[in-house]
Amino acid sequence: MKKIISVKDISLDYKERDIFKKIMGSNGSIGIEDISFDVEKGKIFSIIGLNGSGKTSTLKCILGLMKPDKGEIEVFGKKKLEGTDFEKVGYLPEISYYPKSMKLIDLMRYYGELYNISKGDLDKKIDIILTKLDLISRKNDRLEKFSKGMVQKVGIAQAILNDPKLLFLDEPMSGLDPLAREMVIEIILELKSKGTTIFFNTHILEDVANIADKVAIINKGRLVEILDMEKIALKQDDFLLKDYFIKTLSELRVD
Amino acid sequence: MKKILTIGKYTLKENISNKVFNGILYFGVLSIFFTTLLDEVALYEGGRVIRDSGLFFTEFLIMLIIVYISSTYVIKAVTEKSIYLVLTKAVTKSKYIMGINLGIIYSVFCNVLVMGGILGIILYIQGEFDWWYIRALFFIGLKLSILSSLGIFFSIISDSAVTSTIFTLFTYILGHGVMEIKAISEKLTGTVFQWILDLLYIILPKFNLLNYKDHLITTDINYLLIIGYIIVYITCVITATNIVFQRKRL
Repeated sequence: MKKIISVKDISLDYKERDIFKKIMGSNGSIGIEDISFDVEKGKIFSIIGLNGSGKTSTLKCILGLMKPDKGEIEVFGKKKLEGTDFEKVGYLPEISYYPKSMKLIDLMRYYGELYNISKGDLDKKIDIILTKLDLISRKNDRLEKFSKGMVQKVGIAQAILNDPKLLFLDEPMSGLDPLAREMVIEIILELKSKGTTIFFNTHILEDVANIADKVAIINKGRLVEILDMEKIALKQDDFLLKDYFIKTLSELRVD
Repeated sequence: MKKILTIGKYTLKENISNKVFNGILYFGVLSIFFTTLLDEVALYEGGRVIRDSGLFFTEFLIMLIIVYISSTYVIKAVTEKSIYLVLTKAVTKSKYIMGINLGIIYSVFCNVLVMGGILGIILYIQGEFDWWYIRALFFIGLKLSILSSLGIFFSIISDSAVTSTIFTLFTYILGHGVMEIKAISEKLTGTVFQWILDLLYIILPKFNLLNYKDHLITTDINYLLIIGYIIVYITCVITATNIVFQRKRL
């Protein structure tokens, strides 16, 4: 299977980067240490871990928003995502604020134009996506009127606007009600069926267990284990990711 | 180029729908209307008084809007993480900087058009509207365009909105006193202060060149030289902003 992402021994030390923290010996953010994994084309790869374990930092390094102190990253066979490569990528940040005074339709057109989607296609695409996410009736509303869950849906809408080949979702289920979560899972599975590779970080383990092909457990910036969910399902019918995750982390604490 | 224009267009849209932006703009329009009251107290000079005070309000209030927007824009985008959404859509950091510069310059001229347009109508009724008035408005726009680029620069080098706002405001004030800075520097020959003041004289924008009041009475202005200076100055500020922004940890 073709690799879309290849991460080899990447490390990132926040303390080294922040002179103040270095002097004070603060250990607020751990960063990441010697993380390696591959993501295959058309698969769903998920990273799970506690808060501050390095999930978002790993994702940002892959996206090129942060430069690791050491290690190598390849995306689409290239050392760095740049220029038009990003037109094949969708990204939903963990927490993102959108200009509240802007109308949803304007925000979507803005991102669509940045993706170089032609004007004719853009409005049709926006309508399809907003319908899927049940936001179509709010298309002309300003974002200041949106609830947290709706803002999260806006984030998902902008991330899939360009029919990405590679989709990064950082906590996509955060703030969503059960119905909306179901809707997002459907969208993720639909994208997967079209060949999109999906990389996502989350806390909500039930969702991961249902849709991910591979799950990486990360703790205090270190990769603990990569689980192949298909193989596990074949071997163990009653496997519960949540229990396994808690057990693994408890064992690490005892060590 | 297309992406720079897109970012510029949507930065303008975002600013136009901003409540603080609109609040100050409404206040500006009201202030201009109030200047018409001065007609009653200014014997035979009503039109001129309205024009001068109207132009003052136009520049002062747009300056407040621009300082607020430009010196907080990037800081807000970084803290609110909205910058990631743009940078992960095939937009380089330099295109992003040029785009927001363009968007804020659009906002400057949009404000000048609204407030200046209303004042223009009042002046036309008073019989004081002339070609010099349009030039004065254009110069206000140019002066505040430089200020907006500097505001963005300060918002990149500083992580605090308060600091970058203070820097931008001080630059606006000092930019009007560059000739005075030069005069003081000439009196302090051979001291460290002279070196500092000379450096300030070089790097500060020469807002005295764009002082609309002077251009309402002067006829011998080399417009090409002034516009050339503004283009070079803004280009230098954007280049410096770009260099710092490339190294900034987001």
